Amino acid sequence: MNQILKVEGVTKRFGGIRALYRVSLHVGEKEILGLIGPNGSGKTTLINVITGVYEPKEGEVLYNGENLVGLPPHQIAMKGIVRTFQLTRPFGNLSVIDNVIVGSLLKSDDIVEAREKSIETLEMVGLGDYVHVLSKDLTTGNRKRLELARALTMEPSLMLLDESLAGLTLAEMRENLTLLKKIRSERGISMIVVEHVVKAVMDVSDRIVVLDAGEKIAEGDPRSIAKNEKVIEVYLGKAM
Amino acid sequence: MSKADPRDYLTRNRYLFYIPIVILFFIPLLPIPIYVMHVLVLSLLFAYLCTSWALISGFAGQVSLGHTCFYGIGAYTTTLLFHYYGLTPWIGGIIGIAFSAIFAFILGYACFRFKVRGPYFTFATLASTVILEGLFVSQSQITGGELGIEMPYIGSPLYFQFTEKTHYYLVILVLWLCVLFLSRRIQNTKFGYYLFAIREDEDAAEACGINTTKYKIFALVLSAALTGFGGVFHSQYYLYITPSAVYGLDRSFQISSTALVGGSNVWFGPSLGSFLINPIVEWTRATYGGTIYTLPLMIYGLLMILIGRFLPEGISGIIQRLISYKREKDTQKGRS
Repeated sequence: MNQILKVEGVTKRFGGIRALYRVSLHVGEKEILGLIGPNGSGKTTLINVITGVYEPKEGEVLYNGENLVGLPPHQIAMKGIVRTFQLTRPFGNLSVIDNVIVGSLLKSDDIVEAREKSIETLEMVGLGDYVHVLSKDLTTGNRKRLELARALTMEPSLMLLDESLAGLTLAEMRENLTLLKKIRSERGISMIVVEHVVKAVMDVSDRIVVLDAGEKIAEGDPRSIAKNEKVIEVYLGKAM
Repeated sequence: MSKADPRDYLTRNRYLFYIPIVILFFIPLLPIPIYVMHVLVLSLLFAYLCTSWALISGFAGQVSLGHTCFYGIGAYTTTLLFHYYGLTPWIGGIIGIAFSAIFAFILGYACFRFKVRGPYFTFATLASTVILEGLFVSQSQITGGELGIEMPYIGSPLYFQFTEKTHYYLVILVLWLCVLFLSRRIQNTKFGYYLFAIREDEDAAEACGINTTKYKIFALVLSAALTGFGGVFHSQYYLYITPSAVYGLDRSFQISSTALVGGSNVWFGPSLGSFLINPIVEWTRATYGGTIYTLPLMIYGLLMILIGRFLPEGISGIIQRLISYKREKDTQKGRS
């Protein structure tokens, strides 16, 4: 499989805290990579390093062979790596449609065209009835959908979804997971799915990477991860 | 669900804007007292300045309290070039605008490149006006210091000078309309959408592929250049400028507070504020100026408090709410 993203030996510190230590991983074309780990294990930091929000102390982030370290976030977004935020960050005082238009303007300068594309995407994620609502008035579940729609209109080749399921009801979660699979099969977008809900990630991912305290402790297909002793220890504590 | 542009309500009801504009053009034909004419010119000048200010401070959300920098640079460049070299303000004005834009670029680059945002940007702009005012006061052998400098009166349109107030009125009316339509245009383009995104959440805007630094600098330079031309108009209208008149902090506050009262998030908001506030302030100044010296300022303060409490989006907020209510109704009609 072709690797579109390759993270090699990334280390990031905040003062004395080691947020990431020599983390390496890769994402293949059309692959959904699950990224799990307990609170504070460095999942979001890794996303921030890939998208250029933080510059790592060591290591490389290679996207189609090109090193992204040092590029500002907007350039990385232009290259086709798009993220969503764990705590959703809609443009609150803009309507839902305007939020998505901002995203779709990345690939088009024409407002009318951008609007049409945005409406299509909003229908697809299930926000068709909320087009003119101010995005700050949306519920958590719908905000997550909005983040997803905004990311999708940017026509990425790699999407980084930071806990796009947290705070959702079970039914909403199932819907979103089906949606992700649909997006992958229809648009061929690769994804890194950062998630807390291990069960959900197991369902959707082709492969899983587990972080703990900033280090990669396991990697493999969902079934082997579920049986991995280190992973069980991290999540459930040591067996007595 | 309607696929139409949600702004189509405004487009369909264009006459709401065109009728007042036509009336404004016919006002000079009426026998209007000079003082009223002066108030109209002032209102239009502030409408112009506030609309320009809103491009960076309302649309892009980077509140500037230093727009008098650009205003003063425009006014002083024109006046000094005319005073010392006899250069017509039409050309001097262009140079003044260029200087305003260059100053804005330096200020914007210094701030935005190094992530000076929000209140810190506001302080930087505030400091700039104070510094520039001090600079122009101190260089009195050139600028005339605190006493200011006069523009020689020639009274010819070739020198941007008119014999009648109504002519100035028409000039500022046209200028205001230009900036108003520019602002409206921007609101419906990629540039406008990007500025709104930056105002709402800069990091999320970056994640959407927006070069926030570039767009903020561009908005500031555009806003400054327009404001600079306001300064050029000021120097020709009064034919006499002092550092405190063009760089004074009170003017900076006046621009921002007027725009906020009208609502700075939408193209027509700042103008509404100006047409509301300037007549009231001028009237109180004329009536009570001798007895209750600070009354105009008190009115500003009171309005700011009331607006902040009841209409945080300014007067234009009411209109926008009405429009979105109409739009909802139209959408529902379309469905059934």
